[in-house]
This record gives sequence, structure tokens and C-alpha cells, in this order.
Amino acid sequence: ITPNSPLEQFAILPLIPMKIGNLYFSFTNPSLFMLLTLSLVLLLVHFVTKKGGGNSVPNAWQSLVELIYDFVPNLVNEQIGGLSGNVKQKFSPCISVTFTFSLFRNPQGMIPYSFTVTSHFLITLGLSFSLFIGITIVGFQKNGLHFLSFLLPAGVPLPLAPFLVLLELIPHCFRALSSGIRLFANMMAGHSSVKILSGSAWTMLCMNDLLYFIGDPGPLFIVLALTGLELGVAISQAHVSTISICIYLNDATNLHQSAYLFIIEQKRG
Amino acid sequence: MRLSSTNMQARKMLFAAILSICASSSKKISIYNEEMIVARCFIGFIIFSRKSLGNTFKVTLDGRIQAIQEESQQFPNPNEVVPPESNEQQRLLRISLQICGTVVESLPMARCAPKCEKTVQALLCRNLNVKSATLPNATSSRRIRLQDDLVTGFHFSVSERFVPGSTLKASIVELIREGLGVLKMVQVGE
Repeated sequence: ITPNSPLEQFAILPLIPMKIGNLYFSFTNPSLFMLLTLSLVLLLVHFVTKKGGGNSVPNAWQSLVELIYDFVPNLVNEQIGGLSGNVKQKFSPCISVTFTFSLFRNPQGMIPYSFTVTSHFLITLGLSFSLFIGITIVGFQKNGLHFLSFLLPAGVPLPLAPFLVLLELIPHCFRALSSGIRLFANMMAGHSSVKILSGSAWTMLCMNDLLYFIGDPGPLFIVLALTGLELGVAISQAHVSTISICIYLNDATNLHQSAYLFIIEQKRG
Repeated sequence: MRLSSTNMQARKMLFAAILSICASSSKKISIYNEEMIVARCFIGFIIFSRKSLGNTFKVTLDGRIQAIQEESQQFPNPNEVVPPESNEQQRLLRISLQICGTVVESLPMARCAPKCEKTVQALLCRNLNVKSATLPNATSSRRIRLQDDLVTGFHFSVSERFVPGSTLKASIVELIREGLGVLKMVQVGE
């Protein structure tokens, strides 16, 4: 029995190769699985809101969709303080799409024989990088060049300022990378470990030895537990990446100011 | 009785699973590698979590549905609370306010200074609001008569005053005086 490499599950295979000059636009298996998940989500939302918006007393599926939909405006309200009501919700659709993207695509990889889209660095980096560029543009749009004052926290003595600005700039730019890496590393590590352990369980099964056969439930049980852990990690990583994007948005629009101060100002005024 | 039925269901599912394994392996559909262990563990996890957490999930969702149901029954139907006659009253008041507004708006713009129009409109609206605040106590026929008086009084005074050739300031002052006069008349008539 030739053992397959546990990293083979991450191979990108072009299903419909399309090439224009030196650029490849092939339809690959990540594209296929992203399309599949997208159509499943759209079908779910469609069936829930059939007949003009569902029932006012929801059934189970409608409850689920409502809970997912409700999650984002609450998050936006909480995290991005200091703006008026309708300005806050301006970011809601983008964050909602990011959240739904990771919430449905992370667990989709848990389905056996399927491909985890978010376990590829390219995809998660593309998402986080474009969001980071968008957030920087929003910051400059809202605060002008004053946005750069975000790099210097309050109460810093002047001789230290140049070093601190440089020191703040590096983590700020690293945020783009870190969001992508966080999601990618979690997904890839989880899937690799599940594959490696199941590979060892399979090898133990296949060896015609009684001792190995008795010891086989050990890795089997660990794989079972890991599957549960993976599902939990998938959902929580979606949550964490959405919250971190809200925090970066808050930093960009409010520039280190505490949301608490804005609440006090609103109550006074 | 219930235990035996769930046992029967479990037995049926096990039988179907074994049959499907045999069929798919004979047709060479299922691939015999470690991915099968992953698949079996996944199915096992789903069954296990359904048994242990299925109830909690159902209870939470049912609780949410119940809360929404109770909330919707608590708030009365807004169309039933308001009695029909106060609805009528509000409608008439709104109509009279609208008529006064349109009357003032239809004044030829060239003839009056913009401030005049605004003053007249503000005065009309203020007095109408004051009147409408005291109106709920009046009976319906007197109410309708009062509103008719108001509307016709203003209409005539405004249209009479703003004829071509008339002097501006005097007519404005006259207009306002007539409006107040109509209101006083109406007040006395009540």
C-alpha cells in the first residue's frame, strides 16, 4: 500500500484549463467548491424567504438564517463606536459577506472528500489584503492625512516619536498578513493533523497484526475528537476574523479614541 | 415500546450502511484509503452530537420561537385601539392644515415679499395647531362647522386681499387682522 502524502489534499487541480498568453484563468477545484457553497447558501436563503419574507413566527431554518443575519449589525454597533446610526451600518454588508464567506466555507472543508477553500494561503491572503487596503482607504477618506496620527499614541515624549512611528507602522501593515495567516494556519493545521492521524489509523488497520488491530481504536477516537475540534475551530475562526476586521475598522475611523468617550458625548449633546 | 422502535431504527440504519458499503465497494465507487476513516469519523461525530446536543438545540430554538410569538401577541393591533371618531377628527384637521398651506402657497410670488408669505403661513399653522389642541373636546358637527369657517375665512381674506393693483403692506396687515378676527369669531362662537 503506497501511503499518500497528507498534503495531497491541498493540491489545486485545474478542472477546466483556460489560458490567455501567460495568464491562467482555469476553473480549479477551489473555484468549484466555492461555487457549490455559494449556491447552497443562496438556496438556503431563498427557501427561507420564499413567499415574500417567510413567517413572522419563524421555523428552525428561518431562525438560523435570522441569527446569522442579526449577528453582524450587533457586531458593527459594538465595535465601531462614535458614528451616527446610519453611518455605522454603512460597513454592514461588507462585514456580513466576510462573515458568511468564512462561516460557510470553513465547515465545508469538514465534509469528507471535499476541498477546503480557506486552507489556501492565497485565498485567505487575498481576502485579508483587499480588506486591509479597503480599511486604509476608508481611514484616509474619513480623517484625511490626520489618519497618520494614528501611528503615534497619545502621551509620548517627542524624542521617542520617530522610533515609535516606525514601530507602530510595522504592526499596522502586518495586520493584513496576520488575518490571512491566522485563518490559513488554523484550517491547514487542522486538516493536516486529521489526515495524518487517520492515515496512521488506516495503516494500523491494514497491517495484519492483532496487536495493531486492538490498538486501533486509539487513533480512531482521536480522529473523532479532532473532527469535533475542527468544526469548532472553523466556526470560531470565522467569528474571530470578522471581529478583528471590525476592530481594524474602528481603529481606522476613530484613531485610537475610546468609544466610551463618544458615548458620553452623545449623551451630553 | 419507544426503546424498541429506536432500536429498530438503529438496526435498520446499520443494515443500510453495511449494504451500501458492500455495494459501493463492489462497484469500486468507494476508495479504500484513510479518507474513509475520516468520512466514518465525521458521520459518527454527527450522529453522536445529534444524540447529545440535539435536544438542547431544539429547546433553544423553540424558546426563541415562543418568545417571538408572545411578543407579537402582547402588542395590540394598532388599528383597533384608536376609536373611529378621533380618526375622523384627525383626518379633518389634517385636511384643513393642508388647505391653508396650499392657499398660502398659491399666492402669486411676485406680489408678496417672501417674509410675508412665511409669516402668514407660520401664523396660520400656529393658530390651527392651537385650535386643534382644543378641538378634541368639541362635538363633531360644531367641529366641522368650525373648520369650514376657518378655511373659508382664510381663503376669502387671502384671495380678496391679493388682487392686482392693491398695495402690499396694507393688504398684509389687513390679511393678518382678518385672520385673527376669524379666529376670535370662531372662539366666541364656540
